[in-house]
Amino acid sequence: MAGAAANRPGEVTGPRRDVHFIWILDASTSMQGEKIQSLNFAVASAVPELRRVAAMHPEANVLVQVLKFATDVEWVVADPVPLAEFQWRDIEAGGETSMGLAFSVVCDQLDKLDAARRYFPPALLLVTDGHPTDEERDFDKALHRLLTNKLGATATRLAVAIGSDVGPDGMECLNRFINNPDIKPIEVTDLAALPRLMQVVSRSALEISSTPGDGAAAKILAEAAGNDADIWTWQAAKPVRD
Amino acid sequence: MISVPRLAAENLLRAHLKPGARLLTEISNETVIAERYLAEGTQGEIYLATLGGRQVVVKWYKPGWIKLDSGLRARLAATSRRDPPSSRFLWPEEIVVSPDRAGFGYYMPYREPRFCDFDFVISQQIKPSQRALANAGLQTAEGYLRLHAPGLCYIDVSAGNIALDPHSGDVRICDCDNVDVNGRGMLAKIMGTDGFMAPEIVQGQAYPNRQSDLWSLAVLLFWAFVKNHPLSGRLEYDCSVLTKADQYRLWGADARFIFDPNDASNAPVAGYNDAALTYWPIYPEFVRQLFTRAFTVGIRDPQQRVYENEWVEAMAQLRDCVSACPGCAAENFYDDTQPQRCWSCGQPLAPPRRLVLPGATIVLEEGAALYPHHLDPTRIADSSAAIARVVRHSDDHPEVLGLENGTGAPWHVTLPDGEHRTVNPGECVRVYPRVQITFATATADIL
Repeated sequence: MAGAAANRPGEVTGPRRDVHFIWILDASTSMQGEKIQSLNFAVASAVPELRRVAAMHPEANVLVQVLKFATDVEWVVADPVPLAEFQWRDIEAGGETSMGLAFSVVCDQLDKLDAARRYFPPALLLVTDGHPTDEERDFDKALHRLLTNKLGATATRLAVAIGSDVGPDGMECLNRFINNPDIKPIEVTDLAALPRLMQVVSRSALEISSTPGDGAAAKILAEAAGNDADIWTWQAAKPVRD
Repeated sequence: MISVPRLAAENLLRAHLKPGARLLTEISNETVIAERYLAEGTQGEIYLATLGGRQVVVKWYKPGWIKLDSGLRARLAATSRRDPPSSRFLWPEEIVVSPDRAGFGYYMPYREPRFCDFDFVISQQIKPSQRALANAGLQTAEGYLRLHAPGLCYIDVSAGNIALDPHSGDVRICDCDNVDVNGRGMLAKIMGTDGFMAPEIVQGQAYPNRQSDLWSLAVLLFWAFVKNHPLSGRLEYDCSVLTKADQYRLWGADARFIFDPNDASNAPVAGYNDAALTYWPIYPEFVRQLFTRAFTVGIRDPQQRVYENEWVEAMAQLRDCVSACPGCAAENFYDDTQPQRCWSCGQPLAPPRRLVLPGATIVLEEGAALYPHHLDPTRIADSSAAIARVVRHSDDHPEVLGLENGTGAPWHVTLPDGEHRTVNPGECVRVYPRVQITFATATADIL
């Protein structure tokens, strides 16, 4: 944004803390085809939104990673990448849904971070179209580890459920992951809405982490559920009621 | 089967008003057309709209917020019946309702594109000059003076609710729907914006009022000039992961000024608070004293906070002493009590060309100006327009400056060689040492 140039050579910035933003993405067989392609598109389109939020929060040094989980769990981006340099690369799907294992791997990563640096709560954004296929005991143990991990416990945890196959069990797992009665998993059945949704949710996750004391961003997610059924979207053409 | 909590995507992505939605003003029954969704906040959504041929802005409240803030409609009606404290307020003009849905909102004047939120200053995405910032500080403080004088309070002073033109420093005070009668207590459901709320508000010990407005105003000014929150120092640095609980503690029960002269426990940390360490020392003592008072005794005793008119005077005085380094052009602040070096390049600074009046000394550099209170000792500083400006003589000789007579009366000038001249309105007197100017109400020397 243009403004009168200040005569202040050598601009010095205020306090900075690292925000580790991690997408945890379901790449199981059921995601193959339209779902994974829509997800690829959606995550790529969320990146500019993240950059816009980051610009408003220079105190947040945003580092991005992507973890995909199928039968195995794999870091798509191995080391945290500064947001300014982050480039999304499309992922493919195939395999089981080892969500619990993904949580363990996230914990391993969080434990590796330099204790001497300063942090804001990490942002963990989980996307799935089904329910975990880990053994129940393993899943419970992994989730417990994440929720008691030093950084994991403070993390902003949001979840997106794609499609109608998540089921009550799957939804219950997502609620347990979020572990916050004010924030619910977001269910999206229309893939065309996924990019816009991913922008909003990613933006919210980063806002909440970058301003932990400010409840405004979380409120937007919490209160939306209570609104009336008369819904209009600016993009879609809806019948006009006079 | 019990439904597990979930949120449908459509509920998150929707806007409440469809494009072209027709709304009606509650009292005057005029039509307002919501044309374009602009933004969303916790309380409602903002739309660009038209009323007749006029561009306005509509804020339409979310149903959840209306339920929560039960006094909203009455408060809004009362506010819209009052005149805005000044033209700088984007004031609710009238409540609007919809013919085909429940709920309500209000419309307010359109904010011209030259204005942007103070958030952009704090995040350093825009970098106004010190002169423009001093102007903005003056106009903001004066705005709150005008609001508080008839017994009102703003409640939510924050960088998101105040906008400025980064070139001139002109401000607009927005989001006036929380305005209420001071001291009424918990009728507004909003307590303020995190980071700006006074310690007693953060700790739930008091309701927002004029005193908490003064705290927030001080925070805004400190953040804009020093580029660091006044309470963000060693105590915050020591938090490995800074959580909501930490921030509430540091803004509330453990609030301590980073430059408290008697308590270094929250001092700035090199490598974390470099901005504070760099910028705090560049400001004149009279400004630092106000900030110190605001954030030491002002933490525990709201009645000892810095008042609006004190900020107005300090900002006006700050504006008068802006002085660019001849070497690197960094804006310094002229201080006649001690020899100075440029804070940026370290070069020794000779005293600049300045106009000395009975009550004020104004550095004369391009962009500097004289204001009515300079020439009239019975006037206090305010945001009145300039009555004289320092202008460049020509592009061929940019170092030659003139003081342009923007008053309605001629000036009588005595030049160094004793010659007398008359400088009529619109004409300039050259900025040169030992020139004496006689204004209608005062005489001044250029040094």
